[in-house]
Amino acid sequence: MLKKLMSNYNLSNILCKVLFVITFAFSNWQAFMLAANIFGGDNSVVIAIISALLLGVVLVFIVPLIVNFLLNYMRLYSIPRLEYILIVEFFFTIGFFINGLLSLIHLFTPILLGWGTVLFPFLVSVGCTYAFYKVTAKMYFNDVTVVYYFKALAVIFFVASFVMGVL
Amino acid sequence: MKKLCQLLLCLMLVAVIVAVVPHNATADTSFDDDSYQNTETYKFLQQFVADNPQRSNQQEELLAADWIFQRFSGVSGVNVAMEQFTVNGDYIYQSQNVVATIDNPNTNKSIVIGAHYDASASSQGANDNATGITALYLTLQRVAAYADKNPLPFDVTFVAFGAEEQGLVGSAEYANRHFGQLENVLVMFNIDSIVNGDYLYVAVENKPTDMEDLVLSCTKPSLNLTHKPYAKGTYGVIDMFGYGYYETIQGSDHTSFRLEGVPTVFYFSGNYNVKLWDFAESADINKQTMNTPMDSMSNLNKYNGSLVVERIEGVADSIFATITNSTFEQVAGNARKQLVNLKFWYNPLWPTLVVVALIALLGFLAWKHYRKLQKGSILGTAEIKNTTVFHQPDAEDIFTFKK
Repeated sequence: MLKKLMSNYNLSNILCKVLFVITFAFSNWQAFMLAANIFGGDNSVVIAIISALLLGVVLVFIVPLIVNFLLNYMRLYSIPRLEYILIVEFFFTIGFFINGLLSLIHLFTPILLGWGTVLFPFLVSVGCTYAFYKVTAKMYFNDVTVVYYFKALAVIFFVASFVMGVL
Repeated sequence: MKKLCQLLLCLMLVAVIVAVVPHNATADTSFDDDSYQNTETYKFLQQFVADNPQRSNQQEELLAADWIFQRFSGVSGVNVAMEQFTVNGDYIYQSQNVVATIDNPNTNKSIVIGAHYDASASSQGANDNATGITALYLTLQRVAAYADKNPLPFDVTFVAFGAEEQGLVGSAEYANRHFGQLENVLVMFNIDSIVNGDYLYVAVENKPTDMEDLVLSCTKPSLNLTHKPYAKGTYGVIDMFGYGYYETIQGSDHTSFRLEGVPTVFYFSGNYNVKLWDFAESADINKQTMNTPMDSMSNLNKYNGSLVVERIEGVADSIFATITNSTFEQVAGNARKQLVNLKFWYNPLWPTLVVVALIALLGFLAWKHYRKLQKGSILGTAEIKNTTVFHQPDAEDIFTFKK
């Protein structure tokens, strides 16, 4: 089943994108509930979920653009783009899912809200980025080219972490 | 035949009773009895709202504060003062807190009992918060009468806060002005909107505490006072309009004290069973009157009947019984130790610093890994000369080495 799925790009692509949107909403529903309450004057769960799904759909279209831009900027031309983007979205999906699970802790122990809101996404992104690097490095790079790939990925990760986690 | 007639008569009687008595009679039984409107408590409440139907700008708040000042001054053994301040809200105006104190010169410890007297514009503020002011006045009367014969081991300060609806301005101003004395405040009691909500809650801390146990044990069971559900009232990073979990953002005057580390006891009414994780005033949409023109005396009577007086007097009794309880001083003395450490748990600076430290650590580890990769990839610098890959004498002809 899994082998069939992996050999079928179109099916994998659609499935991955759908899961990307769902897990994005799952990961961020609390923030969307808050936004729905503040800006909409209501705390409707439905509004929050629809907003999250819509932004997830938008992100599905934006992520390939960003990945293409970064690959061009890093001059990594030898990578099969569509497959690489699929893997990026797959790891984002895993990350969103784990972050969503961790965010559920807030409901039961709200005292962790302050720390969890900052720490959980960072820890999840560290884990997912490392796993993503290991997978893609093995698939597309040799001992020589992996050095530059690691450097480029590390720079992107640290800049993104600093901007999103600290600033 | 006679028995049949009797049976028919009985059936007709039952039918008439069923037809005449409303189906929601159980909920409305107290509405038919208006005797509660003859009580002093109700008369105080009604007079306050009648004399101050609007309390949302400088002139209206001043009139209301003067009204309260006069009433507080009428209680013997009480020192009353006005503390003026400037409100920088939607517009700038002068407001004031009315402060009544029962002094004990032999101690520097104190407790604060407060309720706000202002209301949102276009609202009579009958529930929010004329009911609180009435309960505050009743408590003042009870405590003053008690302290006259049995001096309390602490000062008791009663504060009618102004400009709460402008963003807790009155209580923040009070906490700021008396900042040096806050460390001696054992507990701050706050009363806000205690009648119209479906249930009467007390919020002490979002976890069980000795103070919460004491308050509940000192309250008459008939009042049905319960503690606020601990893990309710929060979305994401903000508490939804007060009364909720998140200690740093709560929607009434005790917040100004809690943020300075003063233990608080907050009486309010509402219903946490209506919305998902959120506060609602009532399951009945007609009773959701807070900060609307619907918050009037007529609606307060219509929907709550004798509960108006029962809850106001019940809260006053609860506070009085708590602070005169023999264990109160000891429990209040330990209350600070049971508070959640807001500066640690809710200051985003600390987790952010942890993230920065983790980024630095990861950066170091990444650099080490990068160097390792460099070495393993024969793209390294001159130090790779020693490896077996570069043992050939013509290596420098092939590669350019950094100096």
